[in-house]
This record gives sequence, C-alpha cells and structure tokens, in this order.
Amino acid sequence: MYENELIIEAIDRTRKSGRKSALATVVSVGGSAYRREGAKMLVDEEDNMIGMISGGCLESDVAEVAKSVMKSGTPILKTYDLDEDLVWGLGLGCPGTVKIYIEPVEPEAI
Amino acid sequence: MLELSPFEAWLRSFKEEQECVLATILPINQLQIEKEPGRLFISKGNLTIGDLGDDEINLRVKEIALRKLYETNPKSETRTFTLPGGKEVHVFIDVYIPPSELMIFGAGHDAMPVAKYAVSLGFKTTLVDQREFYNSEERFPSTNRLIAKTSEFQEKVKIGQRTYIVVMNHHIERDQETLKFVLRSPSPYIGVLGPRSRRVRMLKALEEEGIYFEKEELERMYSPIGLDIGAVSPEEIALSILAEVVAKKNGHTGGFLQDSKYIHKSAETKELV
Repeated sequence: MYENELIIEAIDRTRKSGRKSALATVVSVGGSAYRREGAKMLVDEEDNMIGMISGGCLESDVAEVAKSVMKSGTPILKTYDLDEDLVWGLGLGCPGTVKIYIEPVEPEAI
Repeated sequence: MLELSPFEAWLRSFKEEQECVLATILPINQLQIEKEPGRLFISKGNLTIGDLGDDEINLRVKEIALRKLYETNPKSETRTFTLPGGKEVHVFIDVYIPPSELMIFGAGHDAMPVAKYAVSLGFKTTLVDQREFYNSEERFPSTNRLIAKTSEFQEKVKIGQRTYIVVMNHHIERDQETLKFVLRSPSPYIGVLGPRSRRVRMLKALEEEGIYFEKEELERMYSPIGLDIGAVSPEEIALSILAEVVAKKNGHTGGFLQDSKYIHKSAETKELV
C-alpha cells in the first residue's frame, strides 16, 4: 500500500512538470509471481522509474513498452508467460503468467 | 465546475486517503485499440464517475466495488464478464485502501524498533506516552506522538477500524488503564507485551473494578504478543510483533510457508453477467 502512495506522488510530480509518462499496473497473476494484482510502476519520458511490478525481471522490458505507449498515447495489455524461458532466456524458475496494463499519463492541462 | 476524469478522481482519493475503486476495461485484442478505454471510478460514499460502456457491467462492477470497499482486506483483481452475445469483457478492479495505522502505547527503549519497522512497512505510526522526554521525535522519527495520560485517552486518542494497537508500557497499572480504553475501541488487533499470567492478572484486576469485557472484545487481544520465532533482542521482538500485525492485516495466520499449499490467498476471477 505504502509504495502505491509513492507512485501517486510521482504521477503528481510528473504531470505537474509537464513530462509525459506511462503507468504500468499488474492486473492479473497466474501461479507464483513476486508481485500481486495492483502493483504499479511509473516510467517517464526521461526514463525515470518508480515502483516494482516484478522481482526485477520485467521492469526493463515494461519500460521499453512504456516508451511506445507514451508515443502512441494508447494503452496496451502485455502478457508475460514466465514459463517460457526460451523467449526470455532468463531461466527464472518461477512459473507464472503476469498481465500488465500500460497506459499513458498525460501532463496536467494548464 | 471542472469535471474530473475517473483517473483524476482516483488520484485525488489517494491524496485524501479515501477508499475507492478504479475499474478499467482491458484491451484484449490489440487490433481494437481505443485511446480512451472504458473506466469507472467508485468511491466508498457511492460517488461514481465514468462509464464501462455497458449499463449491466457498470452495475455489476459497482456492486463488486462496494462489496470490496467494506471488506477488511480486499484484493485488486481482473473480472471477466460475458455479455449476452457471448463477447467477453475483462475489467480490472483496482481497490485503494488507505494505509493502516499502528498505535504503540509506551515509548520505552524497546518501542523504538517496533516504531521503526512499522514506519518502513508503511504504517502510519503513533506513539502514546505521557513522558515527553521519552516520547520524542528524536527517538521515534517519522511518527506521530501523543503526549497523553491514561485519563486523557478518551479526549486525545482516536482509534479506527484500521488502527492496530501494541500495548507495551512496561507498567502494569498503565497497561490496565490502557486496556480499559483500547478494548472498547473498533481496533481489529490489540497486542499486549508480557506473559499470559500477566494478561490474566490484569483482566482479573479489571473485573474487580467491575469492568467486564465481551468475548468479541477479548478475541482481538493478543497476549503474549507476536509470532513464535524465539525472539530475544528488542529487534527480534519487534520483528515478531510486526509479523503478527501484518499477518492479521492480510488475513493470514502466520507460520512456515514450507508446508502450506499457497503463498497468497487468491481471489475468484470468473463471473457471468
């Protein structure tokens, strides 16, 4: 709960500064993933990241997707199947499917 | 008047620490992308902003949201609704519950790690002790401190349904006076430091004063306090106490995960309209 308050503060700050950002939220978890539904991460156009949506393995990929979301202004839903270590080559050994909703957050209208 | 979007209403609720739900239609098919997906904000006071694009789904989501807002430990989750035509709609229901509070009665040396861990876990932490010298910002950074005698509790100390309580005055009369007050409060958890014999002795002394507690009031009293981790030092004891508080807050019973079937309690996800 506490960390989501930090995200909200960051959203507020980023919107006021006029920077674009994207908010990633874990919306569905199957199996044993580190973070649960509702966990959030904010990425802004200067690559500042706040919050965790996994145990550290998905953050950089989500940050890349966040960039395209900021550009297009259209939210997307990304599914990560952590069984497929062929795709990731990470061998996480932590089976589970995580769905992450990534949406653009526009700067505050002045 | 400026109309807030569901997203902005949700941000505002966080700032005001008001319970709320933000429901969002998830884009399942990336070919049918929409810039502005259906969204509905629902506050505990039943204020709604936005639209999920279907009256029946709005109604169902509102029902689920309000039910969750009155649960002790609601979980955010994705629900799937099937429209009469067979089309499936996935709605992420994000529940916001303001941070819980930990209230520590007794600002002794051993309360310092309890307060420190509570602050780092995100509890709004309050120390209640009449001794200004002990109950200080220096000893308890990032906490609220109430300088109050037991006789002033009624007037100065506010306890809510998410206020977890730890009684550790190291002073039996003061603990007894504290119990008179906290056991009548809406707090879900009242941990009291000390052995079982001390608990029995205090409750007996209170009975002799003519003060009897209901079974439901005593069920929230945890004494001896903490999970059984063999804690010895003040830091270990603080860990044992906070582990119990977090378990209680999350609706778990504590113990080793080694032999348990699941790590997390999961929620149901499939729902037909």
